[in-house]
Amino acid sequence: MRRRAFWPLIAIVLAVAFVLIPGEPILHAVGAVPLLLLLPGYAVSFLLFGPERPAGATAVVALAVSVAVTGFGGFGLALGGVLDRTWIIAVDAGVGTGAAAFAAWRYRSDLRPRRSPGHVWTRLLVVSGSALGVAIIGVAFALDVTSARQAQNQASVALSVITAGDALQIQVAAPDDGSFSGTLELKGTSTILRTWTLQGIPPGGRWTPSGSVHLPKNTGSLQLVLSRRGSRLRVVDIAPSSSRSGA
Amino acid sequence: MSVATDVLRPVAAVRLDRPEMTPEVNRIPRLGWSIWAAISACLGVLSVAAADIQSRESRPDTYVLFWLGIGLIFLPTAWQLCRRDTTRNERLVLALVLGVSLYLVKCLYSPTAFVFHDEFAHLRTIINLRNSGHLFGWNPEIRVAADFPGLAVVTLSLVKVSGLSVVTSGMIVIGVGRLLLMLSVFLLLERLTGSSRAAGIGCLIYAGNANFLYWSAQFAYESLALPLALAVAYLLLRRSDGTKRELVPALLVAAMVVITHHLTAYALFALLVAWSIVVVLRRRRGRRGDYAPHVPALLLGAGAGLWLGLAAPQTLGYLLPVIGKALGQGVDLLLLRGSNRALFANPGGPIQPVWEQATAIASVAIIVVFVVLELHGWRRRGEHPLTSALAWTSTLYLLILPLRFTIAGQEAANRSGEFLFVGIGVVLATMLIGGGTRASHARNRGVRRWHRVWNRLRRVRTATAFVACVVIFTGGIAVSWSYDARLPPPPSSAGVPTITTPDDIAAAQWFLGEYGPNHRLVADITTGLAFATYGDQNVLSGASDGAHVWRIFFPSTMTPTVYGELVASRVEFVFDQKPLTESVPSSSVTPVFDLGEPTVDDLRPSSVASQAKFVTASGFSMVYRSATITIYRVDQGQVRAASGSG
Repeated sequence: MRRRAFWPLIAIVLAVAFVLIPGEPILHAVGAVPLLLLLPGYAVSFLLFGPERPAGATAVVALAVSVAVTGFGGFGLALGGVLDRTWIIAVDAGVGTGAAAFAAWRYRSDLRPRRSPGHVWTRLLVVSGSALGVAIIGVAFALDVTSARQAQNQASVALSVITAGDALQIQVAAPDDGSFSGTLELKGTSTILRTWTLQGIPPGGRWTPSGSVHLPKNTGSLQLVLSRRGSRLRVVDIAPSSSRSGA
Repeated sequence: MSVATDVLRPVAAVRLDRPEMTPEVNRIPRLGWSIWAAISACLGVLSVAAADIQSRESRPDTYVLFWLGIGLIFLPTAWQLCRRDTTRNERLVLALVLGVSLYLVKCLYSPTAFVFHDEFAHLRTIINLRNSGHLFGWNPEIRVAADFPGLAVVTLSLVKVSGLSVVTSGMIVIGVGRLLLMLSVFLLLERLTGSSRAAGIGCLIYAGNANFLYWSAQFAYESLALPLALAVAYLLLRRSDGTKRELVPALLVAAMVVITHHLTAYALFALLVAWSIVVVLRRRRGRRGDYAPHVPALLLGAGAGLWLGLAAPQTLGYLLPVIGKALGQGVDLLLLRGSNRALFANPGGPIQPVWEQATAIASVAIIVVFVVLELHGWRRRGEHPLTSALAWTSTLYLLILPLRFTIAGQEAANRSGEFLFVGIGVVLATMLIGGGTRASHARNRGVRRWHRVWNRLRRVRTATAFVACVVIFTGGIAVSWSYDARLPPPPSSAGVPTITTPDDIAAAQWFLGEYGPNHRLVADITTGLAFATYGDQNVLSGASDGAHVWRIFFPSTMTPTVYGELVASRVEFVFDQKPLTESVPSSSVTPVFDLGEPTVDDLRPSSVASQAKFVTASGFSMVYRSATITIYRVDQGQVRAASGSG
């Protein structure tokens, strides 16, 4: 025999403890998702249906009411100009704890027998199947996020070249979320006219060549090429000097 | 409870599944098949991830990997859901696995950043709220997005408590919405049809609406509001069993719908009104036991009306022109003035494979046939009033279908799918697995005969339902997103970008660092999205500023019209995308600059001269030039002088 009515209360206390542990971002995330998107509604479903809850309706109430509590709570806090972490936790934990405590008191003497655990092979199959599925999804996301980050980093560095007469105004801006090191080359049709080595531009930082850069006379088409570890990140074409006009 | 009341509440008693056919819960071999179906869905997600990775690296065969992944997700799950001897709980879990796996397909498209058009609008709402702490901030992308802050508030709350990024938090919130959506659809259909098998098949059919894979999974207010609305419908359906416990949570969630999305709130209101009308009509025929959701409908209507009047008065100005234009073109079509849109056309993009086009047409044909049969008297007596209301909404699908031949109506037809497919799911699922059980009630003789034949074909019914679901689902994907936009492009793809690229985002972040926020600038729509969000700038548009942006970009020389528009709109910066001169924009990125621009200009690349004119224009100075984007600063004093208005 056990008291199921205390479960939401315990779950909310645990979730709040997780989000309040200082300096542990992973635990904050682990606690915050159920605290905001599951537990307030779950506690309300206990209050509505009691320990013998219909599983489907409980799940719907748990998710939908939690989103509504977080939404309306946040809306009220934003109207009051206090949409900050402490208040959000207070509202969601407050609603959840209130409902859970009331449910626990209301069904305090409602003792139910333990549910049948089911066939051991069935449980083993479900657990191992779920673990395998989660692992596959985890691998899929790890590979995809790595690929997307590489693509983003490759493109997140900004290279700007402005021609003013025969002068070149060059600027390289590192991405906001990472430093940048690489090579910048000014290329003619068959030769490299000039090379700069860019070392550790801080996140969001800018680099410009020291001293002014002038273009040689009567050159054909030029290219400015920004590379990192041998791969070209940016290529900006510069029109031939005869057709170039100052801006 | 009286016997009479029980008779008048027949839905719970209607069991299309035969109880003796429902096997024991713990029979391992069959459960094993369901687990393998779920693992197959996970492998499908892995295959789609591989397709995305290859697409970013411009490798071939991405198309095969994408469809292999979709097949691995859908086919085994669909087969298990269509079979007769799958248990109810397995069906529920498989429906959730299907919904979440297909949601992950969208997440894998861009797992580290929002890249779809509407996502930027809602990202802007969150940025405004985070930076200022105030609701209803200025949103240049979609003006009304800020007036419905439900999604932004929930997401920002999660950001603040969890410390996760806005993108990750947004994906979690919409993921919870997707879970709630599948749960609600399954439980709603199960309750209405009295069959978990019909509910499972209904979920498969619902997943076949054209917006399910990408549109309804993007970070947008409708993606959260629709699951909430369906949850409200389900809770009120339980209320019709006589319990009153669900009423308060249903009203709370309905209020959340009101502050989250306009159209969903109005659609939910319409559904509750239709449900009430069906009940009133039945009461006139002597059936007095049915619950009518008058009070929730009234409160929802009042709430939505008050919100519209007090907090979001510009909503009608946003919605009505779109609806009016769609209806206008629809009327033109009916009056045989011709269609202005060819099906499967994709100017500037690759041609969709023939088999996809054929499947899309077949999926529409299947739905039309079943809905028409429904209209001809397949309806069963004693069904729940909500079933009748939903079945009648499925007939709207027929009415809206011709709009697919119009440019303005195409979007409306597509967008209505996620609402109408609940009714279509009820109709098709019931008919596919056992609608003939009450054939004698069919009004039409031909339909009655068809019922009898259908009942004799019980053995092939599972296979028929499976094939119908596969065709509808595949057709839904085929007509969803432009063929060339289903996988992420490489970071330096040639041609006009169909989504905002990292290059745009890098330039937007550079711009914010260099000049600060809230400058008035003009750009093409795709580039503007990045600058309105990552760059925190005020990108001008016709809807928000009365600007006619294309007048600045299309002319080949600096005409008085160009100067006049620059002055009238008080433009501070002009942005050029070089790829616009190199190829024809895909149909998925038109209009290029803003609504209202001449369509003929979207069917050809911009001229080189139209971009080169800014280099030497009076009052223009180049401040940024990358491989694709060039930014000019506009001196309003000199521009006024040049235009003669200074």
